[in-house]
Formats: sequence, structure tokens, C-alpha cells
Amino acid sequence: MRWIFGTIIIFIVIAGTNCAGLKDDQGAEEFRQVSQQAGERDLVETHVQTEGRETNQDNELSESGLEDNSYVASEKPADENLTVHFLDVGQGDSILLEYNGKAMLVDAGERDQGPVVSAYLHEQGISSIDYVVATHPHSDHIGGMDEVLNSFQVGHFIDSGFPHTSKTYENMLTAIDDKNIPFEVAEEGDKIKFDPAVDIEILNPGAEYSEELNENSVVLKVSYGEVSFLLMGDAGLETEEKLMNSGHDLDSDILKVGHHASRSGSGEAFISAVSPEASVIEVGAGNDYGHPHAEILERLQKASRVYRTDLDGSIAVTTDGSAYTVITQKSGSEVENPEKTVVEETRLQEAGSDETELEDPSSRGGISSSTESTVYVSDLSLQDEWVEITNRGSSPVSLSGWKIEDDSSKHTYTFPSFTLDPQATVTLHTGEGTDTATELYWGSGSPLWNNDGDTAYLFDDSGNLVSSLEG
Amino acid sequence: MNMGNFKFTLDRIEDSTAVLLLRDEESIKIDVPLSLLPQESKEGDILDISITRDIQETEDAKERVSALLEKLKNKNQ
Repeated sequence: MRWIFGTIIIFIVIAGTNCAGLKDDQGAEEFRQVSQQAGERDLVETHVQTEGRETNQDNELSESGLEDNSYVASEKPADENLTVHFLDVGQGDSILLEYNGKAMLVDAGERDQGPVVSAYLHEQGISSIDYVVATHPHSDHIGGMDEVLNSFQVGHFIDSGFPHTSKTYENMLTAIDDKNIPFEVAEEGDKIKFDPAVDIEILNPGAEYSEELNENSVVLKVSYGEVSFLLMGDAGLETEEKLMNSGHDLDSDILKVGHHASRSGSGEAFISAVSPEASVIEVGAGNDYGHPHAEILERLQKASRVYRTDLDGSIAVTTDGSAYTVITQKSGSEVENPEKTVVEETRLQEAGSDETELEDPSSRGGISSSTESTVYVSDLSLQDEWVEITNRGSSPVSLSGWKIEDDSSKHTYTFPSFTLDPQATVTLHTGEGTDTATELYWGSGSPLWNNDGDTAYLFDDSGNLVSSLEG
Repeated sequence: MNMGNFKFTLDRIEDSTAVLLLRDEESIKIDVPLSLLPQESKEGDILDISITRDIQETEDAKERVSALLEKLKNKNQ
């Protein structure tokens, strides 16, 4: 134990040195070079600017929390760090943003995690929360809201606005009503007026709701100086597709992975578009739902450094707007207070191993991402036991080595040497038969699609999930 | 609440598992394979679940197993 704490101190010293290093000319110069190489907008000088605190919290609370996109956050980060905490609330989400004496909470875990969230906030010295966001009404995201609303003064409440019948949701709305907390519904394009130096844009839900609660999750892009976070709630492939077509700048340094890294989300094209350096998965140890899914985990690991609340405990990312530090509360180390945390890693935005990783063709090959957009699961009949794959592109695609899997992952079909022509569809039947250009046969003696509900997953020859369809 | 008669909210579907919350006390949460629920069940549905003790079936099973035990005990003598 003593040895561990000795190590911790050394790590912290190193981290401190690195952070301080960025503020000197050499660090800034290095960063400038990288920034220019990457073709990013030049905000290098901005972190040198220092601004005094000039916030008036009382005013802040009485104003409307959301503004249309005419609200532009200052590009001058104050002399403050933004810290984003990903709380370990078992199987569920809870994220705390702290900046300049202000606090914003995104989700509150299951009901039995309410006290955990509350204790964590108290440990940070928080007694009032400027903004609370409920990404969507599933109990693993809003269960703990009851405790939060009763323990803290809340300035604004932001909800997805898509109704749910659970008592948990109803009771939450009742509490907001009883306490007269200003309530707003999130809409794409709006910004959350958390602090002028921190830009928080709502990317989802849009003007039209999906039928799925998960897909109506409030998705937030948080930018502070050069460092950005994308918080996905439980949004999946449907929302990812929408976001990619919306023209939003999805590129982010830290990704809060959607839906606990289940395979309902984190599609290859989307992860390429976000190109995170670090991915955070909020997930409970030994959960019943198979989260995170191995396929998705592998994809995220290829693209980024992955942090998981089930393995790392709570995870805090602190940034000065140009570099960030990730601190994890290691599981099993009996952390009693935040001081006894371990500095996991300090990551500066400079050319390093990351760049090499990003350019590794096996992790983000141009071939797989270009085929992904054209070949997809177009239809699935659970009753009649067939699945259709369509190529909506303009060039033929080889499906050799591609795979179809069902929900249980028990059944896998591997495509033989087969090419799908442009605008062509091939039907894969469960039973036996002779393969043709339009009909393929799995060769199974018994039905394998579950008539009570199943999903067909299409993986390319590198094992990347290309498309899925629920039957 | 009626004894053995419960209302649950189908809070969410995680893959092939339905997560049900007891409406009277939503901290009580149970996972049920989706295949055990009525077809067409979807998120947000309120489900009526009755639980009764089947005394006859219990007695029958006890009798069958006891008889089987006796049979096996005598078989190897």
C-alpha cells in the first residue's frame, strides 16, 4: 500500500510538470506546430489569455438556460480548468462538469446510485447545480434524480422531452414541478449557457423524435478551447447516421461512448468521424446485458485509449483548454477521498504515438469505411427466416469473409467468395439450397432467427459492424 | 396491492432482455427474457403480472421426485 502511494505522488509530480510545461513557450510552440499540421483553427494563443471571474450565479439561475445558436461561447478560456467527471454508478450513466465554481450534471444513474452521485458531488464541495440534464428517461440514467433534486439546489433542468410511462420519470417531473425548477426541452442547435468560456451545443434530439427513447437521447458537444467532449447518452446507430448527415463537427478528443458500448451504436463510420483520443464507457461490472460488446470494445481500442468505469472506477478528465489529464479512481484501492486517486495518464496534444495509431490502415482503412456506407442490411424476416443485404452504392463490393450474426451471437454466417453488384440485393436464407447471385443459403437444419425479436448484424471482413437491422 | 398481483413498467429493452420496474416501488427491478413477454411488448408498456402458488403442481412434483428417489435407492441394493 505504501509503495502504491509513493508511486502516486511521483505520477502527480510528472503530470504537474507536463501541464506546467505547456504554458511555457516551448510547449506552446510544439502545440502550435501540431495544430497547424492538423489543419485546425489557430487558437493557440487563447490559453495564454487570463480572465478574472466575473460570474454572477444568481443572475445565471434566473435566466433562460437555452439559447439558439446565435449564442457564441467566448473563444478565450479563462484561467480555469474544466473537469468532466464520469462517475462510477455501476450499470448506468452520471457525468459531472465543473468549471469556474459552476456545476452541471448529466444523468444520475439508477435509483440506488442516487446517494453515490450525491456523495460524489458533496466531496467536490458542490451544494447547488446550475444545470441538470436527463439524456433520456431510462432508469439507469434518471433513477438517481430523485435524490439529486432533493439534495441540491438546481438552477435549470433540461430533458429530452420524449415521454416515458415509468413512475421514476413521472416522479422526477413531479419533483421538478413542485420545486418550480426552470424546465426546458433540449433541441438540436441550442446551446446550454453554462459558462461563456465553455461551449455546450445540443446535437440531439432534433425537431422530429425517433420512436426509440435511446435515440432521443440528449447528445452534447462540449468544447473548451481546443479540447472537446462528445457525450452520447444512449444514442445508437440511428442517431449516429443522423449526426453524420447533419454537418455538425463531430471530431472530439474524448467520447462518452453511446449506450454503454452495446452494439446498438458506435458504428465504424461514426467512430472514424469522431476520431476520439480517449473513449469513456460507463458500464457496470458483470452486467446482465453483455455491455460492453466485444466487437465495439475492439473498435474503440483500435481508435483510442479506452477507459471503463467498471475497471477504472470514476474517471475525471481535467483540461486547461489545450491539454488534458485523465485521473482514474482505481477499483479495489479503497479510495476514501479524491486526493488518493491515481494519475493514470497525462496526454498532451502533440505528435506522438496517437498520430501513428490514427494512420494505421488496419484501424481506419479507407476501404472498410467506404463500403460501410453502401452495403447494409435492408430487410429481415424472422418468420420466413431470411435476411436481405443491399448495395446502394455505385460500385461492386466483395462480401467474401463478411459475416451475419444474430442477437444471441450463437449463429454466425460467413459469406463465401461473393460480390454484390451496385444497386443489387442478395437474400440469405436460413435453410439449405444452392447459392446463386441473388440467393444464398446458410445451410442450417433449424430456424435461427428468434420470432419474438431478433437483430441481424452485418460485419465486414475485418470484423467491423457495418449495419444492423431489428426484425 | 393485491397479493401476488403486480404492475410493472417495461422501462427498457437491452438486446433480448426486458428490464421491468415494479410500479409501486421502482427501486425493485427485474430482468426478464423478452421471449417470456407477450408478443409486441414494447418499452413503456405497463404489464400486469400475477403470481400464484400452484399447490397441486408442487405436490405432484414432490410425489414424482420422492418416488424416483425411492426407486433409485432400491435399485442398487
